[in-house]
Amino acid sequence: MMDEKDILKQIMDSAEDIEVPESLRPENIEKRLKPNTISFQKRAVRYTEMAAALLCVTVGGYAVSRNMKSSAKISEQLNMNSIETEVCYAEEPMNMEREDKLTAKNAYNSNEEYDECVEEAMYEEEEKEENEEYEENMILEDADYQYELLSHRQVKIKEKGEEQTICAIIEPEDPSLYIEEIRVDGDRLQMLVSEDEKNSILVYDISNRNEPLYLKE
Amino acid sequence: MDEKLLIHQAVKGDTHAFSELYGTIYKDLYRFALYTLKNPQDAEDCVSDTVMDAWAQIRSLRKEESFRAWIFRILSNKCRQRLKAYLSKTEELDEQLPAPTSDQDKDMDVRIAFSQLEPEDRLILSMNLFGGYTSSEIGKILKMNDNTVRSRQKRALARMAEYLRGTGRGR
Repeated sequence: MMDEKDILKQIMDSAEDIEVPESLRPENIEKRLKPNTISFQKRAVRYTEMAAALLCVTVGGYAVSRNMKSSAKISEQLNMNSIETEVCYAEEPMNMEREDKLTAKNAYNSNEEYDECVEEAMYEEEEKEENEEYEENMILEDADYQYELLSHRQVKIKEKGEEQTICAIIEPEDPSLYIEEIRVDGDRLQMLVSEDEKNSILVYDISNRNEPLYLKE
Repeated sequence: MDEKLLIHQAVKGDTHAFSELYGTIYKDLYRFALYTLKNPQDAEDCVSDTVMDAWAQIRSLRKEESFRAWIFRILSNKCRQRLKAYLSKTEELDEQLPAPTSDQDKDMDVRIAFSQLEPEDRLILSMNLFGGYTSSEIGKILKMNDNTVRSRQKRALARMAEYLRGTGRGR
């Protein structure tokens, strides 16, 4: 009859020739432990590289946005000079003021570059919104009248001068039409309208500014 | 080299000192895991995880505790977790301990007998045999009464003896 000690011994004996996997051998374990130290150094170098790259991207992005801004300004000026029809924007003075602020901000030292980038992005966003407002309030002028596009749905004609008497408000028959743009050519007012991605031009006879007459599409 | 000195150097980050400490017990670590889990791949994973954890936590090794007892405690916890995972899957690995490379039928029978024990009984026997723990120490680790550990061990060995008698190896 077997006693407990015998069985325990047999179990131990049965385990004697068990082969331990290569990966668990002490020399391989030591190799796995050593790279940790190296990888720590590598990690430190990598983090430094990443920080440097991030800095480059930030500074680069800032420089690019500034260049874009100044080139946009130049092209805007060029456009302004070449336009024969007088086009003005209702909120231009406010915009100019913001530009001034921005220019002043650009004069800050380099430690504040990041903040400036963020603020500049915010200003750009605001400018975008404002531009949308400009379009809404787009005003064309000729010698005696102003033609104001209201909410892309109506065009208001009013006399220039101190009283600014409203002559007429033109609204396309189809209220779903979105007025993209207006043009005035003598006694003709053209509306570039869109509906479901289809564009068309509506022409109005405005020889009598008080009673505009729809001519054709 | 003295174990205390090796531990001291390992705590300072000496990987060679750590691998020397590990080298004295790695076979028992693997046997312990293999006999408890019955699955060579899981055993390898458990030992590997244990060594990495031990290296990361070497500073927590108390001065009065031996490296062997300390690392076996980490491994036994990992094996227990693995056994629980087996149980939660409502099925245990239907595997037997790997057959010996040479034609040693007796060893094979012993392994088969061992692999047919309850998971916790295998753990208790492995802790005793390969880890060198006493019943009292096993009881503390597994949160069991000493007597329970002893009686479970006795019952497990009796089952093994019965199996081996059936194969004609127990006479």
